[in-house]
Amino acid sequence: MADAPLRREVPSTPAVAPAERFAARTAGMTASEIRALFAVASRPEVVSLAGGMPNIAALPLDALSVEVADLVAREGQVALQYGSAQGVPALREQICEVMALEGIRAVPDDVVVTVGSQMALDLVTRIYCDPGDVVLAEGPSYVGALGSFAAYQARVVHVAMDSHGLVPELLRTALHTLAHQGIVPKFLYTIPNFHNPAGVTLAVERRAEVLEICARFGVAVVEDNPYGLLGFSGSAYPALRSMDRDVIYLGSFSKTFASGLRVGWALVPPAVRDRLVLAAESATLCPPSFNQMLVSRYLAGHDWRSQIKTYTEAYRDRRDAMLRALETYLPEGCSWNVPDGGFYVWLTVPEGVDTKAMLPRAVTARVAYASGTGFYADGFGSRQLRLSYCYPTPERITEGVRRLAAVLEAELDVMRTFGTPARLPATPPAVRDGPQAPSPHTP
Amino acid sequence: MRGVTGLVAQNAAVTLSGSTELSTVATGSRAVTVRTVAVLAGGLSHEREVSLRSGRRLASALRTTGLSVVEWDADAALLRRLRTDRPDAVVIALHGGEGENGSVQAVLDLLGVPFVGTPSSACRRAWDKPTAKAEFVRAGLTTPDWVALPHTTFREFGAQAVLDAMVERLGLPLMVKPDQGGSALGAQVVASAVDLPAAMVSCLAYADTVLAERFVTGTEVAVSVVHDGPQPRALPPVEIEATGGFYAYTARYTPGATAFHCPARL
Repeated sequence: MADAPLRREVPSTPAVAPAERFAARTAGMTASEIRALFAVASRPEVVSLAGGMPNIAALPLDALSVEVADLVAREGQVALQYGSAQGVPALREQICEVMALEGIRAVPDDVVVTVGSQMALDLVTRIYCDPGDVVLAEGPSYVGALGSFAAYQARVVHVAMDSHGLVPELLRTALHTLAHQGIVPKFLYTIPNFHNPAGVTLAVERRAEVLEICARFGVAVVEDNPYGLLGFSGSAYPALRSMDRDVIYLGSFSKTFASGLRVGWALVPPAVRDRLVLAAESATLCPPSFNQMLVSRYLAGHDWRSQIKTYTEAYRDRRDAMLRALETYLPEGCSWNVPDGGFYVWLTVPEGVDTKAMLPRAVTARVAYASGTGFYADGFGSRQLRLSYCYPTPERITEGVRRLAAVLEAELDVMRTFGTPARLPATPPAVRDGPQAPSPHTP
Repeated sequence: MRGVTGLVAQNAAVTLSGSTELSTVATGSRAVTVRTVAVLAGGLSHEREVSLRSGRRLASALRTTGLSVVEWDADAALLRRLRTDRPDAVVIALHGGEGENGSVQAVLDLLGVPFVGTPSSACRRAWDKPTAKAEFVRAGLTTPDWVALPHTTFREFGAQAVLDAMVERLGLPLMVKPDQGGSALGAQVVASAVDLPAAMVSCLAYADTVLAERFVTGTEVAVSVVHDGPQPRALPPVEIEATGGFYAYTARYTPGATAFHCPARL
């Protein structure tokens, strides 16, 4: 028997298609009509107001290419080698200097460098959330965050915003309601500055209140702040982390330097740090040494503050072009916010228009936007859409909004034909720079 | 919708036979030796992403035959490229719009560039669903009863009255889809008359004319027909079994969401 061929003892198993082996949590990772439509948006004929690509045209590429060559020549043996899972120490020190601009006092030991802040968000969710856990997020919220939460099978409860950001009273109500159900959310995920996608900023006077509410209910706060230094007024808002050392802070060089380098970070309390580093190590072993060292050289040898000023001036011009075009072209019944930094305008369209269903018409008209439902975990947002002004030139933005206006007019025309909804608003909402559309985002 | 979805690709202008040697293609009465092939993919239709995927696969398969293959987008640079680089033949991997409605084929004819696939005139008949269905009826084939109406008709005669007549004639559920297009984009099954207005609005975001068909159940089978010899030749029927029941966009392009049986289990 000992000499019997092993294969005789192995029972045959029916063939299983690879898709049948996928984990249940990947069920939502399917082909999407919307994603397919965005493939067209990459063509130059289309004015894409959909993506949030930073405008890196103003970067000093000649100087950077010298820096890259010098990095390889002088430090190539280190830059092209594995590094620390927590990140290059020199960069972590510089990151503390960057965060000081928003009032944060931190030590490099508490900084974990990641592959973009998206990875930091993924890791934080990984170490905090079991399937079914509840996460609080503004409604709407960053689509990449909702994707991370979904990947870990966390349930998102949205809390509505107004023109001053997250509404503390609604946060309190949401937490009370959840508490009655015996639920303590794992954390509040918030983008306090120049929100993606809503464009609003959490009022300074609300910040302490939000922190106090979360502390009272035992809920951690995850502050995602990629746009904080891109304010048009020239002065930064105080970070939530500057008011509370227990806040988990996510930062990024994607908008202030170069998104393609994929260098971000998490600033975490010491009690969280070791677990986060271990999670990071299992995900990527270490963040790319080369990219970190390039960012470090950029911060050390270039006037990065002036570069940020150059960026924000360009973004302000583009925001102004978008606001002018919205005012000029959009039909009655539309409302939008006026962002004072960042990349986005959040637009509410006339009642009954479904921005997701309208997207094919827009793509045919050679303009693209991000429909609102993608920024909610619960299907809300069909009447909203996000417009990005960061990448196209002011002239293209104007043309894109003009096309969008024609798309909206055509959609409204079809809706009137079919009486959907039964009654279109006779008069448009009076508020333009006012609160976001009310949303049922309390549990 | 259920039914035979394969459309006949008649009178193919060019056929390429895979070979490690140079391929010879026939264009009408001419024989062309093919060394270089341009695969057209992308374009500006709603199916750009699908087309790019098809194009990459086709290009990679063609390269294994020893042909020199370039991949081009269908954009404003196309005609200049066709004139200056002059490929021996073009393989059209465009989905939707210009690539399927006969326009690209007509342009290639204008330039005298041989191409693989259905000629322009047949594309025009097959691309427009109401036209194709009328052709089926004329040929003695059965096709679900239908009506195709533009937005203006609903507006001028009153949408509700037209919808009522539609339901009276075709019953419920109804299959609602754009009159032109592919990948099931904009196609939906409407079970209730109250859902019809919203379905019309979303369908008309894809096209100016809505095709409403009587919903039929059954086994979905696709039959491809190639014309690579003296007569058209039908390839084996492929049965499509969508796990979710409806062969919608997600079912088409999510691996594992649909089982294909060839030959069909008829």
